[in-house]
Amino acid sequence: MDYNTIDIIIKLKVIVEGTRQRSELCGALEVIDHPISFLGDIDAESGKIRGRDSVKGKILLYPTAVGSTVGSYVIYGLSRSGNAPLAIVTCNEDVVTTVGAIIADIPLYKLVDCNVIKDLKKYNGKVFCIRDSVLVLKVGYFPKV
Amino acid sequence: MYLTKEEERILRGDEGEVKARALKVVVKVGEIFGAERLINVSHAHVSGISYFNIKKYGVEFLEDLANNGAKFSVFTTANPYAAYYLSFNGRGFSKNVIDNQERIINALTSMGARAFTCAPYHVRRPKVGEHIAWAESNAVLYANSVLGARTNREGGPLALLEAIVGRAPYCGMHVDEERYPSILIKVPKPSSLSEAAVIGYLTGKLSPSKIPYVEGLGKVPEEWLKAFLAGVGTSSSTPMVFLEGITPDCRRVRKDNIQECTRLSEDDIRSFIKEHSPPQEATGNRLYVIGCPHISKKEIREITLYARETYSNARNEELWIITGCFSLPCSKIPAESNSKVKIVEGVCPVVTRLDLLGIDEVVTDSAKALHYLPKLAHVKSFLMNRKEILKRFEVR
Repeated sequence: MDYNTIDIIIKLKVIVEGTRQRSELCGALEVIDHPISFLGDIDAESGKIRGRDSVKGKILLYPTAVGSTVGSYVIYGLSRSGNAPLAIVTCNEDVVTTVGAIIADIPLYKLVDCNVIKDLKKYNGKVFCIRDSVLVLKVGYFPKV
Repeated sequence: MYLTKEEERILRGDEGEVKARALKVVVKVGEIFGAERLINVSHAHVSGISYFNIKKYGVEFLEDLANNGAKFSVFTTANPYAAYYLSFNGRGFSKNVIDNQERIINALTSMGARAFTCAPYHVRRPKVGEHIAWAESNAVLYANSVLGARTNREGGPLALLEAIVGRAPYCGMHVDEERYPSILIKVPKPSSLSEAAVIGYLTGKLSPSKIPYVEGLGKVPEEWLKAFLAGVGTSSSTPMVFLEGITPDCRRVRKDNIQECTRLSEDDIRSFIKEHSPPQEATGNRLYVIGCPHISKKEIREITLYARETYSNARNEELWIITGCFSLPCSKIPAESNSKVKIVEGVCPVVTRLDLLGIDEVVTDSAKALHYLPKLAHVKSFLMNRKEILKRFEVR
């Protein structure tokens, strides 16, 4: 099988800068391709997303947050319980995520092109880094398509 | 976004770290919605008060603010809390629930909350054109649609932070150009408060995200408008309804310019009411609730005038009549009270895990409560006319 080095570079826009400035944020990508409701879908105590693993230390990607605005407190809770994602990347700027990210001190980014979410789904679990407003795949050896 | 000198000072932390953090959130949300600036508000109303909703980390967030010296800089009211001190058939809540709910109430009170109610317009009635920052959908709809005041449908945590800074993003419902209806809905005239609530709920379903112009309600009591708007806020995200002959903003708009038009039929309303009517006999422990949204002093006078000697023969039934806590400290009836009819203030049974009290089903005159009770209170819910509920308990 042929292997190619592929650079995946996804442009981001900074919405909320965390106060703990770091030049690079690297973590496994957790891709959710549907809107999520923090109140009900995520357990702040364990960091677990309904039917999935914990978001702890990951780059959490979802299109938008919906449902109760109490969801912001769940994001805050993730941070308090030590299960905060490393960064959150969303498609639409929504109030629940924005308020949650600021009070929880989690860096928040917006995808410049929202369509990439479905392409990124196949990289779920792979380690990506966020550096200078771009999301890049850490190691890039993939089967040639 | 344009910020005044004072706002820049606050952001720099000149008035403390807490206020800076709060303003940072408000500014960021304003930027998302494209607000050019902030606007001073005269009254904030905060939601997200029940321990069952905000849980441990919500409590910690509120206490963190309060312990760091956060104070509301404008007149601020808060939503009702869980019915933590109430009991049903003698069964009450655990110490953990009671303690945590009291921590929430104490944190909000120490920051300056003046009242606990979902009907803040009964505490302080904003004037036409007044800019306010309210969370709680029924209150937002009432403020914009009946009072002509101006507020977006703020989220719970956001309204809390807006209360601290006394400002909100100048966008959406604060701006004339955004206060326009885009769908005309013709509705039948209601013949009771519960019917008004159902018409509201079904109107919201016809307009899940647009601002509707509603024709046909006619001149109904304010309590009915309250029930109607609470219904709308349950099934729709609109922050406002143009009520013909009532909404002050109607003067600015011409309904002939509305492109889309639809109607609600008497049949829709009748079949909804029939579908949600309770079975004659309760299938388990049954609670009756009046007061979603909280009833006014006028309504409570009407009810209590006849409620002095009340009883029910049914063993597994209670009636809770709910109103706001309009002045602190809020009164509490003792949990060991075994009265079948309880008139209580400051609580909301809908945001209370009623299943933990052994309650199986709730009968209410509110379309909003009907919708949320199964999701939030974990009980079955049914709809009944207020008069019929009162008759059952010989409260006439």
